[in-house]
Amino acid sequence: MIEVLDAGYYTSIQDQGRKGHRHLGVPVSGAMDQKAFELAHALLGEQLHSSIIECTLIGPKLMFHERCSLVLTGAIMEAWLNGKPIKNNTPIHVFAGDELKLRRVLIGLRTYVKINKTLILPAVLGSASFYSPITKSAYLKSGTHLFWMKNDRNNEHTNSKIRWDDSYLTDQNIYTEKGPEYGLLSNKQKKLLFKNIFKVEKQSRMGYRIGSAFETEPVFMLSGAIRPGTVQISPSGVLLISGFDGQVTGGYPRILQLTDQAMNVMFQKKEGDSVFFKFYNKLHQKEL
Amino acid sequence: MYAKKDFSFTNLGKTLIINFPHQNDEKSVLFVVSLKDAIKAKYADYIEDITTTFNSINLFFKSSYDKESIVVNLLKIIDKTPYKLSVKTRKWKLPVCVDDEFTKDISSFFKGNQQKIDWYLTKFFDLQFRFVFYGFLPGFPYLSGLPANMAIARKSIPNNLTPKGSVAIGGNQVGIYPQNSPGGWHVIGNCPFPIIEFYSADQSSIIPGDQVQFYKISKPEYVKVLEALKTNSEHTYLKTFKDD
Repeated sequence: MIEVLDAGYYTSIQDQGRKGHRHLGVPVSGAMDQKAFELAHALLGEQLHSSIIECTLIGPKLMFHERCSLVLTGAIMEAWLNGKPIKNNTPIHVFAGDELKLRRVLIGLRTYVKINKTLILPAVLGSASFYSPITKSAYLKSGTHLFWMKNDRNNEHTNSKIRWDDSYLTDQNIYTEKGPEYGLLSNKQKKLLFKNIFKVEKQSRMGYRIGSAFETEPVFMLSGAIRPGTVQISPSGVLLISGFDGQVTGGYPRILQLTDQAMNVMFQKKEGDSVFFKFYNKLHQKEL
Repeated sequence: MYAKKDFSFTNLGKTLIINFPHQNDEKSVLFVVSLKDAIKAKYADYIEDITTTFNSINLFFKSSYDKESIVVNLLKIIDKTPYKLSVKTRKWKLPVCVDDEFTKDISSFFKGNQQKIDWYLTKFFDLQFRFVFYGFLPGFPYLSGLPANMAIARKSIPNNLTPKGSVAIGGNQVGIYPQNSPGGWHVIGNCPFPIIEFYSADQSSIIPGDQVQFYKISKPEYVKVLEALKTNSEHTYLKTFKDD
């Protein structure tokens, strides 16, 4: 059992997501950084369907009441086990009474804590991923007790031979493909979109807001499908990038779509961080 | 009615979008439902989800796909899908309370002119709507069928709080807020009936193609429905649809 002594700034539990319910208007949810989600499972030698703790900006303080193995992936946070600094991407064993303390984020935004146990959580529509009001709460609260399945086959064979590369945490290049309404941008806007530097104004699991000077003609659009990584532009020029808790439909022109890799890079950015948009397809890059 | 040339295909990452013009007539709406079902049956193993909007069908593929070969197949399915009303639809009757506390938006839109408000609401309750899709929020239904002369543009500055159950107008679309949420649509009343209960085992809900008509209930009746919901007891207003 894990006792949440201090929940941190915004900590939630995520699994593979609530796939297959978009037709009910339900966002897919799941880890914002899929690369870190997959790496954590691989490092513990686990299948890709168990839940993980997603920590944002300031991590939680967790007390373990039973032994297990754990690994940290994603953003680099100040992290201690019983007061001793610990590193990301390195499986460690913890024992009853051990305290894991995550604090300020140093590189990136979202850190993942994965244990080699199956947490017991209510699944709604096939997923335990936190998303209010589909689940009771959007984030973990201090004082919560997280229980795990007792009869789990104890997987002590952590996989330390996995190669990992965390350079994406500091990458500023966001690779994209053209969205359905890309053509609504003027030629000048297209050029500047791939030349200018853009600053994150606001972020949450729902999505990112990035300011731009690209005023567009308000067009009447019926709501269209959007997905994580879709970039819409509002008439005043705000770029809205959907996150994993983002709406399933949107009413603004969809100018770009981030690649899967680019989402991992983007969703590790915090307020004030800067990015450049790039075309994934080199031919499109040449057109500019 | 659609012709083959009305359909075009665009990519949104791993999502393939089938675009077509929005048509409000019953035949077209039900054709889109049949088409969606046919595509779903064909691609069930390859997609995470399939959604519709007023003017698109969206295939959320599990992994990257070859657009060209899929488009060829989709055009074949479009060709084969018949224009007959093979879709079994239901008629829903949903209670709406238009007590003063729920009509502030429409009242301010008509600048308090009671005659205009009454005209609008009377016409509204006469209309038959068609459920097209869920979007915006979990369980937020988009209904079509509002005539152009009753369309009300979105507010220029959205509300911080549109209450749960609000029946609202956004352009020529009608929606029902499934939860408290910021919102830019004009509220005309409140429907106490929960459209989808995500926690309940019974997920039967309004589905694309179903018809929806609203009927007026008084504030005391509204309160009774809410109480019935709270105590999980029966209420005639909660028996909301009839098969036909």
